[in-house]
Amino acid sequence: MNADQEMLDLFVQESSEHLQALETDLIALESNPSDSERLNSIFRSVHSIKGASGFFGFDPIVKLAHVMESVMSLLRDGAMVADQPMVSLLISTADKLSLMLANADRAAEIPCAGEIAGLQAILDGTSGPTGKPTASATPAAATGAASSPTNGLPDAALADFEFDAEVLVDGLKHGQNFYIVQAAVAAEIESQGQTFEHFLSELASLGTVVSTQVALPENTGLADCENVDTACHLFFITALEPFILSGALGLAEENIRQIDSAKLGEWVKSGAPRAIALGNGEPEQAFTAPEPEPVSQSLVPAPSIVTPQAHQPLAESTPTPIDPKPLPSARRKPEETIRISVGLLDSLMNLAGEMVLGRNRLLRIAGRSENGTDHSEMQSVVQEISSVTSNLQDTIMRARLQPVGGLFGKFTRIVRDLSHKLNKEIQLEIFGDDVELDRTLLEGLSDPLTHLVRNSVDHGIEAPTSRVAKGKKSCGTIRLSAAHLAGRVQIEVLDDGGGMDPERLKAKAVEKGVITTDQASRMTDSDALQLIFAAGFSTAATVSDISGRGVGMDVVKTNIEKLGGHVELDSRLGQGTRIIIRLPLTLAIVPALIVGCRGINYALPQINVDEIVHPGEEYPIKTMGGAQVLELRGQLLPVVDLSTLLGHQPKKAAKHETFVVVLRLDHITYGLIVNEIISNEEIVVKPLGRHLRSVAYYSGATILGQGEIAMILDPNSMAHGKISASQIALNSSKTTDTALSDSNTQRVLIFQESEGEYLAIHLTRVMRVESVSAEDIERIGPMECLRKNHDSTLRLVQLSEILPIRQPAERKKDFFLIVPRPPFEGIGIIASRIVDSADLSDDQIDRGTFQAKGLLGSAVLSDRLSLVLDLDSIAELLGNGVDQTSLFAQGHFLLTANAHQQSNSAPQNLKHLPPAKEQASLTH
Amino acid sequence: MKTKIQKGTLKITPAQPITTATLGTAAFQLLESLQKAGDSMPVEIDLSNTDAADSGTIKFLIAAANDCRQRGLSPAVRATGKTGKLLRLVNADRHLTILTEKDSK
Repeated sequence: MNADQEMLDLFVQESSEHLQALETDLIALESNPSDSERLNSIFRSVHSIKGASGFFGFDPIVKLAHVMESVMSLLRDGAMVADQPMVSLLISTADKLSLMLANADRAAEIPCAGEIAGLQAILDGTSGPTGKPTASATPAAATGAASSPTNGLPDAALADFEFDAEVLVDGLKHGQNFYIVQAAVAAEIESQGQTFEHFLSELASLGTVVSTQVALPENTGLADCENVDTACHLFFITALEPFILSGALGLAEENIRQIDSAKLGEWVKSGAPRAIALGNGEPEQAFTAPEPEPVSQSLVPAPSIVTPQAHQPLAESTPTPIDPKPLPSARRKPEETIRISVGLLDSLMNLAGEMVLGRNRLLRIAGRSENGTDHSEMQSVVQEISSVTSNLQDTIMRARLQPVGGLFGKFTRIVRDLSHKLNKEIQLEIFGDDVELDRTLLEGLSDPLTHLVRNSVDHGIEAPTSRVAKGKKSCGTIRLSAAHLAGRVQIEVLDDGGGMDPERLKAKAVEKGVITTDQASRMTDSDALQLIFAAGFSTAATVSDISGRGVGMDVVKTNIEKLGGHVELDSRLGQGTRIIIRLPLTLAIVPALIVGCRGINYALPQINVDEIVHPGEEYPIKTMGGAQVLELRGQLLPVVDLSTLLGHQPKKAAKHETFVVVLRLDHITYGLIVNEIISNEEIVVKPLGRHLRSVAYYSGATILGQGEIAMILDPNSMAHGKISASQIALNSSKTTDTALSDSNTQRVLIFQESEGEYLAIHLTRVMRVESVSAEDIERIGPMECLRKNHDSTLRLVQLSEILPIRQPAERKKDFFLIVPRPPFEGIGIIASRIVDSADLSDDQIDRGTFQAKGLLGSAVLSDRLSLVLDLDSIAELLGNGVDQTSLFAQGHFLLTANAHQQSNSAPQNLKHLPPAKEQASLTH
Repeated sequence: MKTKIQKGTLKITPAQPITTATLGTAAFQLLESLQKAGDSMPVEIDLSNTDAADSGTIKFLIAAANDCRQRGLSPAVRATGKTGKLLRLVNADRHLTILTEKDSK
């Protein structure tokens, strides 16, 4: 890419940012027209766009921006106040500027006569009566006015330079910027690898070099000239903004000083340049600021002009230096941010991914014990490399994160425009716009979120009269918020509109044939709400250009699921609707369960894995109506055999062990029959080559720790078409217990630390339960830790040390660890026995009898008194010592509730699962 | 560095271009040449035959101008081509006179 193209790209990028700010500011201006900060910000944005466009010669953009800038100038000066039509016109002008900038070389083809005429009418209507000069009045036109004549220079630094008044007038006319550029030739120019001559010609290509001065420190002669640097300063006119100029010249911003154009304009208007010029007896247009006569051809001794050490007054024989500073020590100001291309970031992410794969292999090799060889030193080094790799990967991942504010910002405009169109009053509230998300996810989120917001405006918020009749404020509210929650990002769209009527949804679904009357009669309100995610479902009476075609929510759901997220919906008739989107922070590296099928390894995204079951007498696989189902604690789950799905030829001789991995999707939970449970790994997702993209069931590929390639299975596409409607019907009533359930009842896990008290913890807070041997525990000071097979450590928590319960006489050789879900996943709560699970409602908790920090209270569960744990306050009791990063646990089977759903999984299913393939001996 | 007094002017003609690389040597030689200048004598440094310039050339000329003035001498430089262009670009005529035509001899 050549330098011109780079500059042009930079211009487009900067202008886009200005336009984005412009739109936000203009919409905000509508509600507060006298907000001087907004007015200034808008003016600056337009001015910057105009200036940079002028530099590139995009005259149509300059023309439109100029007239807009003139109007903004009047608004900024208080000559008028912006009303709604004026803001609309300004927004429309900003839109045109956006279009022009997107097609800068064809900007002339964008029609903007209406905007220019409208803005000009505003200018014409104001300049006459008030007598205030409009911003469109050029300095040249005002030159003769001399309203406030002053012969003083607008900036003392200009005294060093000779220049032509016409150059100033011309620059002012074209909205250019005036600068004094100062640099030490050797230290700041040649040190960059460019010659001084090249620097000057580069400068000349960026604007007009009005005058240049070079000087050595005072009294520097031939004897010592080699040891000093030459100071160079220039008077320069350009359309570029200071930060662009400094970037283009490779100089720090402190080397560049902008002269106030307004003051310069006043000075030119006052006729001072002409007066000075005439006073010096020079030709009419050329003038010289007051300074010593330059040396003429008569070989009269010339003074040394610039001295870096002293600031000389104008009246003295030597002119004033500009911001003198010691040359040798001049150093570039360290940059706080730099722009990096997305391609480079992607490339870094790929490399980090490769490194993670290498690390995984290294860990596996280092973990091997061969012939009793002591690998402890190697393992220590590998652990260190592993830790650095994790940090590197995390840092690069964070570099790809962008605030959601950029995405949220566009909804201000959408809501404004739609509400005007629909004659509704709607206020958009945005929270958490600084929450960051991987840029790939942000891009993917844009369309679904637009659907949701448009739906809220169109179908959610009622007309003002209707709202008032219902006793609501005439102005509806849509709240768009983002927050980090349990290691994921939660985006919420909430409106206080009319909400959804479950009965109407059911009726519409029956009418459209989505469900039968019988199914509708058995459907709960919560289930009925999920119907809006069915393809082609819409209750809108009319199809508008905003929404109502019934494709929105279906597409929303599909797109969010493609991003590894899911959508939840809650709606109360007459009160409003809440839609929650939960997304992973990144898609590049995900935790996965590695399973085996007929000797081949596959990866399953852990987010979808609910539990692993060893079918047998307790959990039989049955055949019903030709389809296989798993009877799991009273539920019938559809089952798909992976080997059949992938078309593996059955081997008669081989007898394969069978596991069922229970996969939970938003619309269905089903079991996947596999032959082996291999391990849990963080895998780097590699896209499939174009030849494999059309193959169903796979979402990507990865390289495992052993170095072998494994395909990543796509739970969604495996379910699609392979699970019959009857299987779904069997399952459907069991899959709708979402986190948005109205009930206050939640499932709790009952356990004992010792033979003493029964303790209960909400299953929604539990990530997994694992079996641990006392031999694996390591002590660091008073702290007990369990080092995991990769790079993570769990801190063991013995509740009897922090809660008023009995201490165990001695710890068993084998015990359980209850690992909470984020943000507490770095700890493991010790349990000697997993007792049962039970439903527990808030009302059942007795908060009075047993009061202690770390406890919510007590409840009678399974006929025994149990103490209900409060994980938040337990974390506080642990001294906030849960380091989420360093203690992040990995590498274990997920046995209980998964990240995105409350679970009804009963704990009697919690089995002692093998930590690794080679130790596999599952308890039946 | 060739030095001669011609029509009351001390004329100095470097044998090679004066640049950052040759600055030290050239400065030393010019100092020696200036010893030959009479009181208030105009000094002309002729760079017209050594047309190569960089920031070293500029530094050399400003330092030479300072030295000349301290000695009461009037400095001038004869420069054509690229050198003359660069000197005009940086307004070197504020330090010493720039003569842009080849010496008529």
